[in-house]
Amino acid sequence: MKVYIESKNKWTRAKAPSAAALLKKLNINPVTVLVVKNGSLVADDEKLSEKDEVKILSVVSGG
Amino acid sequence: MVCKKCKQEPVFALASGEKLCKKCFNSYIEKKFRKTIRKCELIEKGDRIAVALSGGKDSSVLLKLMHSIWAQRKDFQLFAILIDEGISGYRPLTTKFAQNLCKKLGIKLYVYSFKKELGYTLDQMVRELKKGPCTICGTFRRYLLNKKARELKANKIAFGHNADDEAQSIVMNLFRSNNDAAARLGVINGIKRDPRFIPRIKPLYFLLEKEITAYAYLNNLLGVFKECPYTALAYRGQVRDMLNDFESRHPGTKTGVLSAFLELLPLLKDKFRTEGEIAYCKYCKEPTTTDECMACKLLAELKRKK
Repeated sequence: MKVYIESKNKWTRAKAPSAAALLKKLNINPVTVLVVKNGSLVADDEKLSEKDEVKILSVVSGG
Repeated sequence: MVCKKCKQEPVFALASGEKLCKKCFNSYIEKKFRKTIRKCELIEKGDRIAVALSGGKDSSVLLKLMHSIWAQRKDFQLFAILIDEGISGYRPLTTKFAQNLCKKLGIKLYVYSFKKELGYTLDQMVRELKKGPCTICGTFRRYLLNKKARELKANKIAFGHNADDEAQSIVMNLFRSNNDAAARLGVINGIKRDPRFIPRIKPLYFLLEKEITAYAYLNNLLGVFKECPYTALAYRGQVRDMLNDFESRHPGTKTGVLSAFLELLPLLKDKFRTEGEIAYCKYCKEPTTTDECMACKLLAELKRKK
């Protein structure tokens, strides 16, 4: 699936059965991000498929 | 798994593991916010409250939630103050978002800039002073917010500090053995009362940063996500990462830090209330702990370098 990582401002491709598995694969702490699947905010255990477009939004900010 | 309450698709999983749909999540945030206001008596009849607005997610969520309370009660006044530090490429974007939000909610916004009030933008100050940008910015932001809120006859300033910010401050003060600074934390900032010092309230105190960001996302309050170019969270950043690491492995860690601290806070406030007096700066007459406030010290340094 196509994955956008906001903190790195980059698109990548990854394969994972759920949002939680995807974050683990990308080494991202789930506490620090929101997962948006096809334009909708989803809980961390949401199932994912190859056709999905996923955005990983950062929740930590500073300044 | 669906939302337990209404069987809709969940958008958020709480630290307890409970999953909520958009409607139930919004309701959870709004109830938690109202509970903080009620239990900590943050809003009283006749108050005139200034919301410190930056256009970032925390202060935007705070403004929207404060407005929702005002719309129901109308027994207090609400307005917003935005401090434009003069950070090129960053602040103009969040200022625009803040202006649009205030317009949409019908809230009066007062904008003050470092340049106009102090004679320098933060960008200029950072080039001239050998101090961290966050130290310079924090000093003048606090200085101007307090001064302008008082001039606008506010009796409280509401800040968008969240549970993550507070847990980080608590742990930082603990690690540095800085009980004096810890005593000034809490839902209502400060230890001593003085007519020139406007009390600061933190209505988002019990909401986690992730919860606030999700609420901002669901309610179109995220605006332009852009980090301040001066963000240098050396020590705070390490504490933040440590707490996030613990939170992911032991959900409820941050809330635990807050609960334990709030039990100790009355003792800390008692201890430090009796030590030292609030003084007034000999130059600007603003409240401080010594005879010259940090803002005047920094401004004098800038003038010497001119």
